[in-house]
Amino acid sequence: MNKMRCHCPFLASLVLCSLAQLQPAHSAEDDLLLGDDVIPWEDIGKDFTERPAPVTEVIEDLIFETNRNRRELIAEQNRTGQDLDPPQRKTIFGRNPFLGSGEINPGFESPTGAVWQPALIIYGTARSALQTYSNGNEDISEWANRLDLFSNLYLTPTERILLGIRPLDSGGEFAGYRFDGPSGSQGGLNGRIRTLFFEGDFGELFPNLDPQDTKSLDYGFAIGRMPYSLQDGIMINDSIDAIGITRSSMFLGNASASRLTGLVAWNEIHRGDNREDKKANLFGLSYAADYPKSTYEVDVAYVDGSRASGGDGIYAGVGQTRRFGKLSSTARVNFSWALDEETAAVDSGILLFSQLSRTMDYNYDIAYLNTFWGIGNYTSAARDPSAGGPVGGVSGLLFEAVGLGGYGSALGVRSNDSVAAALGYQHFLNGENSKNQISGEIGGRIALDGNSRSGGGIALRYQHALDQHSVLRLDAFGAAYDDGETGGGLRAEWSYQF
Amino acid sequence: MASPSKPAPFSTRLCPVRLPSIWLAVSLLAIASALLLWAGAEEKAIPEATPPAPAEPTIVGEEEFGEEEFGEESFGEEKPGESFGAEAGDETFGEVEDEPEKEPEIVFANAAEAHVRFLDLLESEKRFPSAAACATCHPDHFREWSVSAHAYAQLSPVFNSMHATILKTTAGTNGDFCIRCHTQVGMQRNEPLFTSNFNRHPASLEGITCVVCHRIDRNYGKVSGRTAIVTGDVYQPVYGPKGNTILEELLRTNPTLKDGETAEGQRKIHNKVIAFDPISTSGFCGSCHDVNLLNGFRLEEAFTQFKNSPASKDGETCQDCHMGKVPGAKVAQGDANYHRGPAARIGGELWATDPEADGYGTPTSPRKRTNHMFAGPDYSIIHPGLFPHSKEIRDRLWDMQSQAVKENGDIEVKERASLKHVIDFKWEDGWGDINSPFEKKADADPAVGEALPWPWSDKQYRIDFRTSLNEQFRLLNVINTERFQILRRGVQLGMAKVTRNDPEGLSFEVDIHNGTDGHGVPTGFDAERLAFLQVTVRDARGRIVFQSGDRDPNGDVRDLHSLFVHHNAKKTGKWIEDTNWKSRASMGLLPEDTRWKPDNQLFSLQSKFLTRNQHGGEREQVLAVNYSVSPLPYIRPDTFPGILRARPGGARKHAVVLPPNGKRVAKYKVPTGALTGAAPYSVNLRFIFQMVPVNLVAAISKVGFDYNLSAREVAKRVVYGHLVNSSKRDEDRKGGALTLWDRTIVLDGKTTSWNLRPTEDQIMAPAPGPFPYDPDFAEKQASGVGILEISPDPALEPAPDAVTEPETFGDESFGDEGFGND
Repeated sequence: MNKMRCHCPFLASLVLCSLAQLQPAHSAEDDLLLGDDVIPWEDIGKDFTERPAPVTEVIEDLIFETNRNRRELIAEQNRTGQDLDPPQRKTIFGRNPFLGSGEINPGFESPTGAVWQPALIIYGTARSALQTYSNGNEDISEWANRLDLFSNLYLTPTERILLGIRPLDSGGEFAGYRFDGPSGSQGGLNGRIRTLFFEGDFGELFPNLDPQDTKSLDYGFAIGRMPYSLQDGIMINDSIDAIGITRSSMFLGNASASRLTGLVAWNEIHRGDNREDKKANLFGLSYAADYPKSTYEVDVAYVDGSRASGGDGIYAGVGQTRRFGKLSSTARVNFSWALDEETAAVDSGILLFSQLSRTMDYNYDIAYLNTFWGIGNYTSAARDPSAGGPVGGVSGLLFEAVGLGGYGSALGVRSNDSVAAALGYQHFLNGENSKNQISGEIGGRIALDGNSRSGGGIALRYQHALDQHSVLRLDAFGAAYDDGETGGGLRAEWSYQF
Repeated sequence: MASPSKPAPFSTRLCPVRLPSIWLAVSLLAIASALLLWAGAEEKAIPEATPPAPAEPTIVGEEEFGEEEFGEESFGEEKPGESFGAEAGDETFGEVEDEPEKEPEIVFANAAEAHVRFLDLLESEKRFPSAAACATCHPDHFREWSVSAHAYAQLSPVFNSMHATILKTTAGTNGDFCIRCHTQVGMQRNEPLFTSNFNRHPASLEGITCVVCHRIDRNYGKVSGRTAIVTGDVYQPVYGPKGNTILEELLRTNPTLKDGETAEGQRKIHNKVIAFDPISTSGFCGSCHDVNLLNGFRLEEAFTQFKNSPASKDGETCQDCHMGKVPGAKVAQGDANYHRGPAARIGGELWATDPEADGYGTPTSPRKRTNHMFAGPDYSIIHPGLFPHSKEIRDRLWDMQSQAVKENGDIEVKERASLKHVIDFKWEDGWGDINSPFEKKADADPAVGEALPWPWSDKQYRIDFRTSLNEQFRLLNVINTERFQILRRGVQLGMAKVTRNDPEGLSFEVDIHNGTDGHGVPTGFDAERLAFLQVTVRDARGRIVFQSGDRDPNGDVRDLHSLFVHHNAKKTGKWIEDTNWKSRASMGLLPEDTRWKPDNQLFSLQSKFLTRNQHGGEREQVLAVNYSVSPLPYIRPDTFPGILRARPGGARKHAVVLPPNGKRVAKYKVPTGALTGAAPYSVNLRFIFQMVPVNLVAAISKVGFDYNLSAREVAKRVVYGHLVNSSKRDEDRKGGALTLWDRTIVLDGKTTSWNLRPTEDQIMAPAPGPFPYDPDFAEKQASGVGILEISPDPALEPAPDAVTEPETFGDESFGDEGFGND
């Protein structure tokens, strides 16, 4: 009976599942007691999921017959339990398999005393979508593609160089085909470096400076072009040229764990309007601490910006995440102050933001309520062109941009002088760790001044893991706005992780 | 202020922004290749030794498994001038070179055969010698290690199923991340990521075995266990803190103790000890005890915590507290902090202590002797015949064989016993104890014994095996005391205060201290360590008026992970009967009297995994696999600089641990409606440490548990321990969660505060052994007199009326919680 309730169409399930909370299905302890069933040891691990190898290992396996034989022997070993001792892998990208069984390369000792075990892997995600979108002002129907491709050179498990490119999209244009308006194939092909940074631990790089482990040289740092975010992406969500230094697992203020990070960025800083300010510098300080009841995040940033974009800005954010009984909550307050001019790139405002969610009693579904209140025009310190506005990534299905093509947000991604709420429910069709899920959301925003648009809408999302690599995702929304326009969107996306 | 002019951005000088990625990719590849070439060029030190021929192996000719199939890491013999490790990597860059001819290799038909032929294996293993081989000369180290958490690491059914569940829910992408540390040997041998331990090589089962630390030749740093073991048979050099001096002296003064090169039949002695200073540093422990997933997830932070601790600044090391004289404490400077004794007793027996006795062996010169027991929060829930590791048990099994007469009259061995048979042996029912009711019944009616599965249908086998188990019990009881001591050192009660005590309200608080200065408590796998305060308030008539830290029917505390709390389940049976007295006393029932409600006053030091929802913030999950954002969680390297965030975007850990030397206050307020007016009230405080919560057992149960264990049995052993006699009552189980402190205070209105801080004697007090070790057991078996009585634990009886003096220590068992107290 309970399952029937939870598989019913979304809107009904939202109501019925809420009622089900009042009358939980499990009242007999026998339903909840751990079982006496035994899986015989002979059957343990039979037909178990094999590790999907990264591209680099696939290439090596294509080149070397030994590797193919080895894989077959390992598979045979898995099936039969026979001890076949597969031969050693032959490699061109580094001896250590990525999280795979087999021998570890002892590596070599660098002049600093650090032992490096270099290995290169290539991985990423390919996305392709057919989608149509309208928000009343613009209509888009298109086939859009995106490829996030990474090359990761591990020197040790803590030191690495990461190179990332997105060869199929550039400047908001995605490779594919536009079916309406200026129809035709779209470009976006590029070789721009989106990510290229080194990260490591100072103490690990120079172990000979502290052979007895008494000097606490464990400073993590990263340098290069790196994606970075603060306050859940509200304050910073950008890929910037920067250097950051951090120290973690501290006990400052009797915290169970705390982290302090300093950041200086000098290039590729996109301001609050998602446009690059080539002359801007960013200075940030980020602190996070776990206490028994809550996690706190306190972040401040100063952007030394060009006059052309409006000048300098100061940014601050405070966040708290905690549970109240069965409720999970996150509350954030973010401030921005324009020190010179108030422009779209840097403006003054406050964003009050909250997320409430509850895991349902009868299964592991999630009901949530996200709200925000924008006072003035809050702008982020740094926002990537593909990152939308400050509330785009966190407020709900109706506010987010999918990050692929021109399919935008139903109700907008910025908080400017408005209040908004989204009530949603995420249902996992086969329970915990489900490969099928459906989400529905209803929400709206009310503009508090004449410059923004009010509206309301409903959104649905379905996601299904097709196999070990692929996910099918369907999105739809319908919206109505206070200017009398209506909007709607429908899309199907296939993504492939490798 | 805005800067109208600035120099050209650094990155554009470093590389043009629009530079085609292919050039950078090629550049990066070139750098990588250079580094890899450098790595390939550096080979390991080559110890000079030629091992003797293997003893009577099954021979597989090279024509059957040619060079292509078997690389250097096979059982092939080393050649002078070669690295004896597979790591040397002749073919690293794809060069298919002719490999030198190898000795015939020993190939066991399957792992089960290898288990049976354990003794052969010890003789023949050329890459990863078993700890049992080391035991010949290092019996003290072996004895301590054999019952350690290191030795249990791979045997743990909870670990294996947790690892498998994470693997399954991440589409296999978590790979060997978890199991790499738990069975370094198994992973180096290319064993499956998940299978029954009965299918693994015997040396793989030994977890963190001798060679995992003593065949490490370089200081890897925080690599989350991704270290390379230097391969080689038992004759090859080992790595230790002291170097070769003592071994040289031994061989000089004992000319009959030749090294392995000399001749067959001599003792198996490694030919050299290579001094390796890092093995004495904390950083060496940090190569495993700082677990950072490659997607940026910081799972365990013990070593980093240590680096931020007062202990580190004072120059203390992990070894000082965890391998010294006193579990969990540094008690003296330098070597005085450690026991002193021989590093080796050649040919010595396991428990021999008298240097003059025959079984003591030939000792090396006394020196600093580290304790290899590494007591910690984990305890074994598997059959005591499987753990501790025991060469004697293996010998027993080897001797058990079923025979058949062939047509020509020869006798052939049909089957030998192996580890898989052990799990059928019901020692708790009295099997093999000649004075037990079971064996007396089997004597009276042979059909009783004959009905048992082979080999236990043979009475002599039962008796022999039960006799061997007695020594297992002895070891398990020893580690139990060390475990108590180290955990008591870690978590201590402090001041208890009554903040309100009148007819309208009752409130009190208790200080909880971290007694160590080296790391948080708990540390390591702190998101699955259940360390909590169990509080029971009774009125003058003994009726329970308030509980916190009580358990649900599965054995979970009432946090959000309890299945009963999660489902808001009704209380039934004895749990609802517990509150019947309220109706008789015309008192109203509280919500938690009828349903399983969250324990909002629970004091627990268990950190929690939080996963980010697709929308709606974060939520607690038992396992940190985020299936909300995507139905296909996929582990790949972080695309962010994870080191700056110390957590990936999709999941994190909310740490709740006590900082070093830190203190927290557990505050309680008894609901006014629960007070009966029958003063004085008494408060029983129990601090309990459980290696994992039951909800973890539930979360990982779908993949099954090894050793034919059910989820319910695993949970019961985790919470209540083993069945140790024919009673099937949970209350009579032994060896589960540890009650570190058990104190009762009476709120008589006169005293308002109590100092519950333990003394050193209380911390170091021996703990009751959960297993029925009997020093005279072997003699009793031989003589057939006496029977070991195992009485139910008195601590399991309903708590006595309040006492004014704090009690010393409670038992590790669990009595009244969840079983109806009144």
